[in-house]
Amino acid sequence: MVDSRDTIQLNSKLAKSTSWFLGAGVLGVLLCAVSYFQDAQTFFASYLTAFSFFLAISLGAIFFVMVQHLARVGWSVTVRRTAETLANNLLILAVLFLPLLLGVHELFQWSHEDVRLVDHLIQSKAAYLNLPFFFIRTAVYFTVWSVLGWWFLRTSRLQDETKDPALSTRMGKVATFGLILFGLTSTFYAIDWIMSIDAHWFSTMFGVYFFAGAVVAFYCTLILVVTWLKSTGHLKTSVNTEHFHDMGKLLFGHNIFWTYIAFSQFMLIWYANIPEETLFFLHRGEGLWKTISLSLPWLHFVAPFLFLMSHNIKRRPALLATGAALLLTMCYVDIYWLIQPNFHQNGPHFGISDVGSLLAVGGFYLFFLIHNLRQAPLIPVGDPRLNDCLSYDNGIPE
Amino acid sequence: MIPHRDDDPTKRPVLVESSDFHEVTEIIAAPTETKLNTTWILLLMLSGSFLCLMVGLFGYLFWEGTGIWGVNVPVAWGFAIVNFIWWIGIGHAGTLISAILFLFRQKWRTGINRFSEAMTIFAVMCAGVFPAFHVGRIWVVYYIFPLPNQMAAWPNTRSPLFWDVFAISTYFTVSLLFWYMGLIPDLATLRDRANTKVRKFVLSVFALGWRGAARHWQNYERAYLILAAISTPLVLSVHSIVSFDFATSKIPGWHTTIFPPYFVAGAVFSGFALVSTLLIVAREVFGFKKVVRLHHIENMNKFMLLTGTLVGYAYAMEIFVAWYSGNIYERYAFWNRALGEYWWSYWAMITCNVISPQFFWFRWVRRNLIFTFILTIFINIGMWFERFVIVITLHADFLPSSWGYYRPTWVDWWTYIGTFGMFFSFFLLFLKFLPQLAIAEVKGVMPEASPHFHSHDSSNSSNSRH
Repeated sequence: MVDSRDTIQLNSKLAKSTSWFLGAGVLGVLLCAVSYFQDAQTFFASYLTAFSFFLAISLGAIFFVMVQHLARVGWSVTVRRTAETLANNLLILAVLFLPLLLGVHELFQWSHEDVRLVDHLIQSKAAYLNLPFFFIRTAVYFTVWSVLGWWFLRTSRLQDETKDPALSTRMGKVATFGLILFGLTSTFYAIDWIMSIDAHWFSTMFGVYFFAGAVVAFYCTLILVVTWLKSTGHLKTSVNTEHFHDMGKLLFGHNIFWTYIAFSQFMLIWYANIPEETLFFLHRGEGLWKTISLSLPWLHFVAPFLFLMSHNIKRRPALLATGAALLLTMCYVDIYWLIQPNFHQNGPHFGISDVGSLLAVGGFYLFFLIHNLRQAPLIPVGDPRLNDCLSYDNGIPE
Repeated sequence: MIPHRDDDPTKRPVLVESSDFHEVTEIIAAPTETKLNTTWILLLMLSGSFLCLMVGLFGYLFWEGTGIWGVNVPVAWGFAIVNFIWWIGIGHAGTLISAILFLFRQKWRTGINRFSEAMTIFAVMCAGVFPAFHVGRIWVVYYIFPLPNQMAAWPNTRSPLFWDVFAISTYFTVSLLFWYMGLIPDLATLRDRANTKVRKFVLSVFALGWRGAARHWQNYERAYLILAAISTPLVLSVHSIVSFDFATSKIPGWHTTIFPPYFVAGAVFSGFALVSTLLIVAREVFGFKKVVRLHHIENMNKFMLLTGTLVGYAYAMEIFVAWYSGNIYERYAFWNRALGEYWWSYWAMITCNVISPQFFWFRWVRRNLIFTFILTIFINIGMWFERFVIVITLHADFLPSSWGYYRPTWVDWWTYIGTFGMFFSFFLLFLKFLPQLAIAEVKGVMPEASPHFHSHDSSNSSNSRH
């Protein structure tokens, strides 16, 4: 059972911090407005980057939640509410997405009639890359995600009250179909909103690459949010060293998976050296972009790999969270690296539009997150596997 | 509706239907301690004769050259590589079960890991014979290794075929070590039960002086964890490197970036299918039903549903991107696969690999042994066709005047069938002379093994940490 002295309800003092996030969001909107009038294309590129970054976190979260139910996982119960709330943020993301609809012509060359007429390749893809179909697909993605994110949090909260184990079984069943929908929608989001910016380039691995990065970003965020909750006096006994160790292991493992996917994609394109594919890496191999490209293997893989290897680090929340924060930054750099070279060929152009977009999307994202964390206990108190989670021990001597 | 005991979220599934350690030892040790039975001997003779056939056909190949195979330009890679990849893929389930499921604390794996690790080792051996003989001049096969020599001739390090040499040999070595290390405590158990001097001596040698001391167990568990950590990347790397054999090329239909994870998913898929095929028979014949429960079979079926669907995703992504690329050669390659001369192999692949595992959505199919057995056979056939479909994409290459139709010869067929003889010969020996399931590990997941088992005020006391 949960220790009755443990704080599992977000305290009201902390809840007040939401106004800071709201403030950041409003400031971000102002900066975005300024940058929009400076250069609309730069603004939309930055906004798409920041948006896709936070979207990746929530997509990773809904994936995690569904896998926990499907695989009937016990150890993760006390951190699952945080993940569910992050996944529920897909609702606010569906709203924050709307400005991007105005930027379609700024972002996508293929959406211009005159470009299509002279570009044979874009012409041959017109059955897929055309605006009506594009908008329908996008609407489907956000509908699926919002429903999934909302439903899992709602059902889990319902279980807090009813303690009904049958709800766990039902969530497991929904997770099977949910994961298939998730796999398809996240793949095609990545193809539509990121890959098709350069409509000539293609890679069958692209959806998997975006997914792999999203899961890493999610684990980083989960570790950070849980550490933050603990450091503010919550979940003292409900989340312990063992849970941090496990989250650290999964972060470590998934980051290796990301590397595997990234390396395979790069190596196969580099090795075959076919011009239509290598262009992607050529664009990212010039000037300062080259430095950013090289930072990915070193700071997204080598440094976290060495850092997270030891269980001494994974079992110390402060250290683990530091590593997670740095790796989360690299997840942003990764998405930045996917999107921005299409708009700034000469080198990265990190400026007011990027800061503004991060503040705007991030501010509202965190505001919504804390707002929702407040509404229910911070752990699913009705979960039938709660005792498994509380008593788990990795068997490592202190 | 009351959920089945295995699905009830308030309980943990029962992994062993026994509460007696001795009974578990008896069940698993029994096949190794009874007299040779006639069926076993006949089966061994049958597989042995197929093994001899394989050896004979390789002798013929050695004498005559690869002209006796169906390979020719444009399909210069035929059955040899198809069978090689098929067998290598089969092995992956064993490594996944012993390494990845171990790291993910999937306790049910203990019921099936020994069995599938043995399968891994024999499957890798069957795979290895194909490239070994395909090099043509088998008497200088050592040139595949970078050995210093007076001609200063070195293997081409840029060739994925050379990477294969290291991928496969590492894989074989680590799998063998993992398997053998897991066997040590069980061999000691058999040694202590041995009733003849010869048996006792042989088992003593292989049990390496295991006494079951606390220090032995401590070293054992640490080594097990380290080997699991080493094997985990191998599950992904081996088949990824095999996929590089195709994907590093510029051949339409071969060069595609999703190949590495797609091959890995397919490998695990086919591996689980073969483990299941063999285990369904073994648990009936040897009476392992208390240790390998329907729950285990069902879990493996879920894995097949998952990996089969992932393979389906990869097929879909390949076709979509072939179209999306706008590249006419790429588009043609896929159109030709589905509707060209080899359409039958493509649709056999889709039916067996994507459609047949979908039956596992139904709980009653997952828990029905006959259905499961039939579906696993379909999957094994489908995964063979997958590699065939990929390889024969070559039949329509860049130069239409050289297009041709690949036909395997009788030698191709019988060599392939011969490898089954090799596989089953080893497998039958394993079934008879080694403990088929991991005795010590199975005992470890029984509730009775918990140090808190006898303190009866249930979950609360076991929660407190010491």
